[in-house]
Amino acid sequence: MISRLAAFAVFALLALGFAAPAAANSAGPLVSPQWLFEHQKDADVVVLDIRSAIDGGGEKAYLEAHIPGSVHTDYDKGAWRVMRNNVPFMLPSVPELDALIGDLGIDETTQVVVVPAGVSPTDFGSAARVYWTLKIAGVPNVSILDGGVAGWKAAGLPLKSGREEPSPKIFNATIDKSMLAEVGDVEQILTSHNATLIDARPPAFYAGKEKTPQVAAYGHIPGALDVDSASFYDDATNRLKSKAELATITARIPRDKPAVSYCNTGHWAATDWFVLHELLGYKNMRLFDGSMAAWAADPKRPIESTRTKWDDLKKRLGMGS
Amino acid sequence: MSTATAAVPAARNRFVADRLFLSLAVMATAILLALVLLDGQPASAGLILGGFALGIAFFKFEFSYTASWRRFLTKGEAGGLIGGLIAIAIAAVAVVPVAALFPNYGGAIAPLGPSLIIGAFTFGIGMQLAGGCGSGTLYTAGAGSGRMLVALAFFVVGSVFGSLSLPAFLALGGVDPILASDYLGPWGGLVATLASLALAAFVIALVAKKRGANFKPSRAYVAGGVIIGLLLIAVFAAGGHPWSVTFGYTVWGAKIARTFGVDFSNAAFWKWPGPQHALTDSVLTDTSSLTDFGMLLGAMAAAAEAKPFASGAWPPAKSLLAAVVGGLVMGWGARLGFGCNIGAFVGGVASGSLHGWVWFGCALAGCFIGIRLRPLFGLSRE
Amino acid sequence: MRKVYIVVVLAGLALVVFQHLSSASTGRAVSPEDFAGACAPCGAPCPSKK
Repeated sequence: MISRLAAFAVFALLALGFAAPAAANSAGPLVSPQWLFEHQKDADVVVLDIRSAIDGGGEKAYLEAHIPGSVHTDYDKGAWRVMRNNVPFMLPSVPELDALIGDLGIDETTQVVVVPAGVSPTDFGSAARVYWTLKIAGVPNVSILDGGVAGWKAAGLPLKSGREEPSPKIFNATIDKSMLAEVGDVEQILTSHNATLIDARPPAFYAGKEKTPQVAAYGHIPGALDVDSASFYDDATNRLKSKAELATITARIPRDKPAVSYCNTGHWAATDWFVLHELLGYKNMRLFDGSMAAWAADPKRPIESTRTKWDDLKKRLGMGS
Repeated sequence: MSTATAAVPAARNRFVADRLFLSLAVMATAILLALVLLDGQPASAGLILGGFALGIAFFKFEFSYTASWRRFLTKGEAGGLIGGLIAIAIAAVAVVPVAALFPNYGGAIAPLGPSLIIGAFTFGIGMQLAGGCGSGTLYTAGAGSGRMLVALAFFVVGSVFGSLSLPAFLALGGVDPILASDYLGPWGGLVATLASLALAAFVIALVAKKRGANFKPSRAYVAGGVIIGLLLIAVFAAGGHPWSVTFGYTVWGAKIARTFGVDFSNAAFWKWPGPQHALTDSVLTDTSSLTDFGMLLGAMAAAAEAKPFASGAWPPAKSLLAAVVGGLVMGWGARLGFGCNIGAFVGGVASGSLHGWVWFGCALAGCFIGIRLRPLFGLSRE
Repeated sequence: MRKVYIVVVLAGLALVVFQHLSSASTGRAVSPEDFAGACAPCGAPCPSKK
């Protein structure tokens, strides 16, 4: 009697265990080429090829060869990031997102698969930023194709040429503010120290030895940890490293504190956000999309760096950056 | 003289210039100018050049506050003292109104209290022992006096101690600065300042007459006063505040002490925003240091052009001791008194701040004592 | 004495250049008076503020 009850209980638990994931994002944040091959014809799947000038591809590369069933959207030129209040590369507004997402045939029921070129960590960042944009706008089921187009090709799977058009839908975006940090939020963190700031840029940018034109000053936000987004990426396989390796790399980031990732313009930081929030389960994690471009715009905001006047001199003499 | 020398044509014996030190001074100045210009700071270049010109002017005109005050106290001879006032009057014409009217410009102000009085008095003692004050030590050291180089070194040391003492002396109390333009407006303040200078000159001349001494400034003091007055305006324009000498010394001393492990993190003075930044930032971003460097090098260039540089012998030990003691005492006194003869007296009076005259009176009293102490070190009273 | 001066000038110059180049990259030259609220050229606070 007891053993039958126990067996039933175990069976019920197992059934629940299998059923529960089906209700959530059943594909997970990362999908393999194999998974996509099996599901590409599913009715709710929309595959987005996001290649742009950033990966050296763009629409031309899409037209030459793309994953069958995928539609193209240019990450760089396709309105995924807009200029707002003189800060470039920001999250678009709600009406802009309605049009951008809906026109690609995506709504809340869609399972989106974001496909980068699969050639570099920065290219992966494009996918992470698109992923974040979709999620924050209210598309719950989003995945990135691990390895991108290059990974699909390496798996020996077929490609198609020409253009495929999306079937537009009506989409009503709602911004999930819990995933977004603004300048005011970061200012508050600096005084209250109640969150971890994560700088997703390579060490040279963090230290203030290098700078991009969009950012007015050298250095990082005081107190930020340097967690280079490229450190999550395995250049040999053009995929993210294993979860175990990712966990080791991020071990120094406290789990019990909220976190905010930033970079120059919110691109590399999207990778950090993706890894920490989506893969490693950091619950309270936001992306500061304005990043250093927004932060450094006001000379009164504090910035830390180890840049010296010798660095300045080298730059003046054309010997440095 | 050997017969060999007598046979040499006269032209070869004529001194042209001490090329080594002239080029050293020019090269060092060029390097400093290059660094600040490459740093995008033309105003800093202006301060170095202004200081350089002041070094030349002080050297050429032998514009000594210390010696002229000593002559006034011992003999009543007031020419030099009054000549020094000319420079202040010319500077005041720019400083008083501009500091009142333009937000980026400020005068030299200081609270009135025990710190000012004790500091100025102590400085007065020191300047007569050392044989030079703020400007005097700088231009004579730059011009090749080893004795004044020693005084300068200990001026720097004394300044660090002064920085540590100042907050305690400030705590003894005092009154907020009294600035003429605050009460009389920019132009009323200027009139009051010039009137105070005229009154001082009149009283000083009266004392000179009573003692049967001269009170007319020599040509050198008049020309020097005018040129230095104009240079004061240039330095004020470039730096945004009147010429300051001793703050630079304080910064150098503290930076050197820090490299030897001295920790200033608990010193109140070094937690005030100005000193705090000066301690951590480059010395070439400190206005006072920039003019100091310029003046040292300008005096060096002028001296090297005029005669063989640093060709004198070292003075006797007692004299050097006076330089050491004088330097230490001036360094300490300048911090408490909010500057030296340049920063507190010239700067203060040229700004229309009452503390300038208080500093003058107390320093003159200190000079009286310092002069009396000179024989202890084998120095003459004259 | 000349030798002392040469050493002092060259060493002093080297020191100034070295500390300048290793200092933090910042903006314009400042004086302590740039920091508002000061009551003296060195940045001392006013007696009335106590």
